[in-house]
Amino acid sequence: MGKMSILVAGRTSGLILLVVTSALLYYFMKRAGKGFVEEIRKLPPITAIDEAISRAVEMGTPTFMTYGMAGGFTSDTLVGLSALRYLAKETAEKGCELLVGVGGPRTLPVARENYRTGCIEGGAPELFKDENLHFFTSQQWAYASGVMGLMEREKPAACIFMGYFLVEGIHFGINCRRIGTMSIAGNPGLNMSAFMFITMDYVLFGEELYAAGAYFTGSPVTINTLATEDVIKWALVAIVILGSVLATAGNTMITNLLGL
Amino acid sequence: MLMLGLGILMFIEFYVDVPDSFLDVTKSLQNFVMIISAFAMALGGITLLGHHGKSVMDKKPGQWFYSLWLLVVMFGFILVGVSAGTSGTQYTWLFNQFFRPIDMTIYSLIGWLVVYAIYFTFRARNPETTFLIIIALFTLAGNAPIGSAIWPPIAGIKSWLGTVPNTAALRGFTMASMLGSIVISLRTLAGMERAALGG
Repeated sequence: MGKMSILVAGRTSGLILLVVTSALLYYFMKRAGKGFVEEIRKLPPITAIDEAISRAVEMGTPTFMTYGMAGGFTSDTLVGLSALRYLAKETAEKGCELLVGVGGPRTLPVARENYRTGCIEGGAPELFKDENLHFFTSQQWAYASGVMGLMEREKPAACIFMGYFLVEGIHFGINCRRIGTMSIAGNPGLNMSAFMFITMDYVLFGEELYAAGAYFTGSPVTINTLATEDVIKWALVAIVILGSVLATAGNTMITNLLGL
Repeated sequence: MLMLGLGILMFIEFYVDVPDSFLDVTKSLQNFVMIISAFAMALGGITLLGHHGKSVMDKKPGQWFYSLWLLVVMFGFILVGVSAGTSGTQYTWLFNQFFRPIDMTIYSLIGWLVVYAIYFTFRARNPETTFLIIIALFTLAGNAPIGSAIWPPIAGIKSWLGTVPNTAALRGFTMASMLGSIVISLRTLAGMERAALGG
């Protein structure tokens, strides 16, 4: 009891999970450094991005991308910013203009840098235009109205939504169908993903978005970190099954351990 | 290294029973974040001013009037907020009379959009979508009082669908999603997430 008072009660199991995850992350990063890169199955929405950009090039219209209205650097916003850089590179390589919708003011300078760097990496720095970056604020409906207005005016051939979206996702999806644009979305939130699932052409669910984020960076070290998630997931599945069986038999050992 | 160091400080504050002096340090760090966010908000305002100011000056066809209106409203709110305070009656009146009706109008579109989305999505094209439609019908009928009036067991079926398979799927989904979030956060702290650094 005296030793356990160093840690806050009820958070020990979380700390153990964090330490194990960190250790596994380090192990897989080291493996990448030695040349053992895990293979990622290419998800259909990611394949569809190439198709979407090609469609935009053929139609002579821009591609539109937004990463949500989160005010800060949440994990889904970080994936969105990685996607922005990747899309800026891909559209620059194909000679297509990219329009970007920004919600959170804190992410605006970072989005600008990712956009600019992506254009440079794509070999067309002249395609970076400050006026293509549209700031809509992080207020939900102001952001949603701004995005929909931009889509109506510019009529992009492809719209890509990767990041933090709430119920405005359904507005975007219906608007995409209305203007006849190809839509690809990625949203880790379960409840709000449903809106995008029923209205968009391609959707990345939950952890698929984070896998896509690793793919967008193109870095073997980052790709290898996805293996950490898989290992922990299997471990948690085993614990859940074992805990369920034991709890059904009247043994609450696992439940008590997880409650530490 | 700075990100990693600050991240470790916050971890220690969360998991370890620390003295009050340590809590003061982490509280100050959180205040720094709020102050920096305020500067970022100002940067966003300046960006808006630049973009829409240019649109007005160049008399961009079809756009300049809306940009002018945006600037008028923006400065109107700023002036009233700074002079009378954001909790004053004038600011509250402006907010309730101008902002809130527009906000609620866009929000209320959801009702129509969901019905529209269901209309073109719920087609029995394959076994999965057929199964989805059946489950949706059970849920709709179970929620409406008339469903129970016509066939009483439907409320129990709907309740079971919501509490057993749905909750199980939700928890699995959430666990996987949170793991991804943890890994990205650790990568960011380790300085491996280039997106956060802008290059």
